[in-house]
Amino acid sequence: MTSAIQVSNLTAGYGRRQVLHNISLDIEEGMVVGIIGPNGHGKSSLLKVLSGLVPATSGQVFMGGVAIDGMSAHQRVAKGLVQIPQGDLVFPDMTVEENLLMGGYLAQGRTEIDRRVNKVYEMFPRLAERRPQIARTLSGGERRMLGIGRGLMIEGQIMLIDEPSLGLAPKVIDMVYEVLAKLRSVSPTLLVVEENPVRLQAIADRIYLMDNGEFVWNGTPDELSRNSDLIATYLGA
Amino acid sequence: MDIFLQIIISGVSLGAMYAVGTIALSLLWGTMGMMNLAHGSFIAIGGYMAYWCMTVMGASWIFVLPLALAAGMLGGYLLYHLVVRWMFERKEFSVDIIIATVAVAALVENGLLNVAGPEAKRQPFSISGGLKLGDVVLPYQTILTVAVAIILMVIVLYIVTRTKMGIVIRAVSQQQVASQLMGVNVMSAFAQAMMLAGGVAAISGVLVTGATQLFPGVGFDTTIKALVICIIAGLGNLRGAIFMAFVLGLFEVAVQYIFGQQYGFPAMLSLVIVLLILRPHGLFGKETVERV
Amino acid sequence: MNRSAQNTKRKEIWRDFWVGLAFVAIAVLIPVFDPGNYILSQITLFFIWAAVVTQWNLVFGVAGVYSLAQMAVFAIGGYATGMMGLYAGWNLWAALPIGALAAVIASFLIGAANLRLRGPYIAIMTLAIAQVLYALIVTDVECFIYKGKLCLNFTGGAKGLIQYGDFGFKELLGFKYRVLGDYYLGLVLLILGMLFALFIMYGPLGATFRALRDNRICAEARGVDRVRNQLLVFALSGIFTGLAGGVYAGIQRTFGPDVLSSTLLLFLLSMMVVGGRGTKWGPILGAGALMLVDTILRDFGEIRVAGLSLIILVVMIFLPRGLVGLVEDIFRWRPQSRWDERVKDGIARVDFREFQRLRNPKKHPLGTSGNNG
Repeated sequence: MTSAIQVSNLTAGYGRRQVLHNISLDIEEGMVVGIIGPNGHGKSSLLKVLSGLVPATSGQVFMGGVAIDGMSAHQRVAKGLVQIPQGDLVFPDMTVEENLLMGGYLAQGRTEIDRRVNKVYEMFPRLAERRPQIARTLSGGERRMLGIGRGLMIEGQIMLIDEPSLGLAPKVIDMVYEVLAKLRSVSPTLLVVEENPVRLQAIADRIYLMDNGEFVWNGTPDELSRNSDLIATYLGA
Repeated sequence: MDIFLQIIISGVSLGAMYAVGTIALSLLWGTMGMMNLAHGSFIAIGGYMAYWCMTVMGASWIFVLPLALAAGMLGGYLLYHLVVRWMFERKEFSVDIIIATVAVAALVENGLLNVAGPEAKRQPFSISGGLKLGDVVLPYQTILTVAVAIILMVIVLYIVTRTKMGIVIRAVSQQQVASQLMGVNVMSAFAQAMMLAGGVAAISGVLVTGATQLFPGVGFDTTIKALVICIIAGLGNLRGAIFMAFVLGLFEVAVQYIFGQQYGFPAMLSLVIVLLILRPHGLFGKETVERV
Repeated sequence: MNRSAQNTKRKEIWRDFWVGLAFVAIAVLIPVFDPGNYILSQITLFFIWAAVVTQWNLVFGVAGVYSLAQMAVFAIGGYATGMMGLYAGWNLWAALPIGALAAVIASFLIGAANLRLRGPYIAIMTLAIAQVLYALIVTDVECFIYKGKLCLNFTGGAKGLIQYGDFGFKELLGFKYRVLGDYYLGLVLLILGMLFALFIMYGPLGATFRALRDNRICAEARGVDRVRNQLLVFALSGIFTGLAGGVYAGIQRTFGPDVLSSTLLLFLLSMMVVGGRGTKWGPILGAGALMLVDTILRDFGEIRVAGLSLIILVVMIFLPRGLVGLVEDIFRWRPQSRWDERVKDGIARVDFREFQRLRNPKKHPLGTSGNNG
C-alpha cells in the first residue's frame, strides 16, 4: 500500500497562538480515516493546513510522496487534494448548476465537465431537481449535498470533509452519511472530521482522537467502541 | 416644445456619460466590494491616450479604442497589484480603499499635470455635427456615447453572467475560501476583474472627454456623480445604475434649464439624499441581512 | 469597572497629561528662539490643521462614521465668521462663536443626511456634499453688495471673501509681532480642541461612540441610541472645526473655496491616516509629520501632491494603524497570553467554553502522553 497523504511533525497556529502541536499522520490510499475530538481543539485547523488555507509553522506534508508545503490552496487542488469546507460555503447567489460548474473549474473541455455534472446529478437526484435554483434558497441538507457534489466535480485523489453532519437534523445526517458511504466507491481516499464518532464508526477504517491540538489516541472503530472511558473523558457521551 | 426636446437631448447626453461611468464602478463594487475613487484616473488615461494617439502621433481613430482598452487594463492590473491586494484582507477594506484610491487619483492627476500640462485640450475622438430634429440638434457624439454605453453594458453583463471568467469573478466575490478550494487563484481573478473594469473605464473616458474637454483632473467629478448614482440604484446593480444614470441626468439638466446652470448637481444630490433617507439600500438594492 | 481597569485608565490619563504638557511647553517656547516668520506661520497653520483633524478624528476614527465633509464644516465656520465681519461689521472675535454655531448646525445636518447610510456609502455622500458646496461657491457670480464700485458676491465666489477684518494683533502688538499673536491664538485653539477631544474620548460618550463603531448591532441591542449619538458626534465635532475655520479666516484675512479643494482634503486626510485613526495623539502627530513633509516638498511644487499621495499609499499599505500604531507596537511589545491575542486578533465569535478553557488552562484528564487506548 502506498500512502496517499503523509504528515510529519506538523505545527501550526494563528499569530503567536499555536493550535496544532507536532501532528503526524499517514493515510494509505483507499482508506477512510476519521478524526474526532471536542470542539475547538484543532480538527478543522488541521484540515485547513492540509488544504493550504492556513500556513503551517513547521513540519511537512507529502502527497503521494511529493512535498506540497510550499503550494497555495489552489495549487493543491490541482494536485488532487479536495476539501469540502465546514458549513457548506456554497456560492450563495449562484444556481445549483453554476455551483457545480465552479467545481469543474479545473476540468478541461465541455464534454468532460458535462460528464462530471451528470455523475453528480446521478448521485444526488435531489440536486438535479434543483438545477436552476439559487443556492441560498436551498435547505441545509441540500446545501450540504451541493457542497459535497461540488467537491466531487474536482475528481481528486483525496477528499477532506469537515464536519459533514454539523447543524443538520438526524434524518438529514442519515442521508449525508449514505452519500459518504457511496463516496468510498468514487474517491479513493477520505479524511472525515467529526465531533461525534457514532456515525463515523460505520464508515471509517481508522479513527484518530484529537485533543488540544494533538492526537491522543488512534485505533479501529471497534476498539473505540470498546473503550468507553475514552469516549466519556473526551466526548462526554 | 423645443425647450422640452432640448432638455431631453441634453439630459440623455449627460445620462449617457454617467451611465458609462457607472458600469465599471458597479462592476468593482459588485465583485470586490470596492469603491474606486481612482475611476476618474482611468477616464483621464483613456482621454489622454486618444489625444496622444490622434493629435500627437497623428494616427487613425481606429487605434484609439484598442489603445485605451489596453492602457485601462494595464492600469487596472497595476492598481490591483500595487495597492488593492495589500489591503484586501482587512476588516476596514471598504473604507481604506476609498482613502487609497483618492490618493491614487491625486497621484495620477499630478503625473498627468507634469507630463501633459495643465491646460484643457480638445480631445479629437469625437464626431461633430448632429441630427436635426426641428429646431434642435441631437449631436452625433451623444448617439455614439449612448450606443457605446449600451454595448459596453451588454458586453460586461455577458462576460459576468455567461463566460467562465465571469462565473469565476462572481464566485470569488461571493465565497473566496470556497473558490480557492475549487482551484481558483483568487488573486488573479480579482486582477482580471480590475482589468475588465479598468478597460471599460478607459473606453468610457475616450467618449466622455470627446464630448467635453480633456484636462488632468477630468474624471473626478464624474466619478463622484457616478458613485452617487450607483448608491441610489443599489450598489452592484448594473441595470439599475444605468437606468438611474439617465433619470438623474435628465433631472439635472431640467433643473439647470429652469433654475440655472449651477443648481443642477446640488439639486440632484438633494434628491438622492431624500431618496436614500426613504430607501437606504437604494431603489433597486437588496436588503441585506447583517450577521453578528 | 474594576480596580485594575481604573488604574490603567488613571495611568493613561497621567501619560496623556505629561505628553500634552511637554508638547505645550515646546510649542510655547519655540518663538523664543526666533525661527523666522515663515516657520512661525507654518507652525500656526499646523496648529489649525491639527485642531481640525483632532475633531475630524472624533467622527472618523472614534465613532467610525467615515465622513469626508469635515472641510465643508471648516469652510462654513470660516465663511460665517468672515461674513459676520463683512456684512454685519462685527469684530472677528465676536464673530467666532457665530462661525462655530454655523459649523455645528452644518455638521449636524450633514450627520442627519447620512443617518440611514453606513460605511463607504457615507464617505461618498459626504464627499459629494463637499463637492456641491465647492461648486455652489465657485459659481456664485451675482452681486450681493457693492463696496464702492466693487461688486461683491455673497460668498466671495471663486476669489473668496476679503476685507472682513482680522483679530487686531497688528494694533495690539505692532506689525513686527503680529505673527506671534496668530501663533499663540492657533496654539490656544489646538490646546482647547485637544482637551475637548480628550474629554470626549475618556468620557462615557467616547465609549458609546467606540461601541457603535466596533459592533453597531450589538451596541444597539444593548440600548445605545445610534441616531442620537451620530447626530451628537457630528454636532460636537463641528464646534472646534468651526472655530478653526474662523481663526484661519482671521489669520489669513481672506477665505476662499480653495479650502474645499480635493488637495487640501487629501492633505488633512493624510494627517489623520498617517498619525493613526481613532487614536488620541495620532492627529497631532500626523499633522506635524505632514506639515514637515509639506514644508520640505514646497521647493518641489510640481510633485508636492504626488509626494503626499505616495505617503498616504505607503502608510495605508504598510502602517494601517498609522505612526501611533507603530509607536505602540514598538513600546508595547511583550509576549502575550493566548486569550489576549485572540482578543487583539479581533475574533468576535468566541465560544464561551473555549473562553473558560483559555482562562483556566487545566491539564486534560489523561495527561499529555499520547496513546492511552
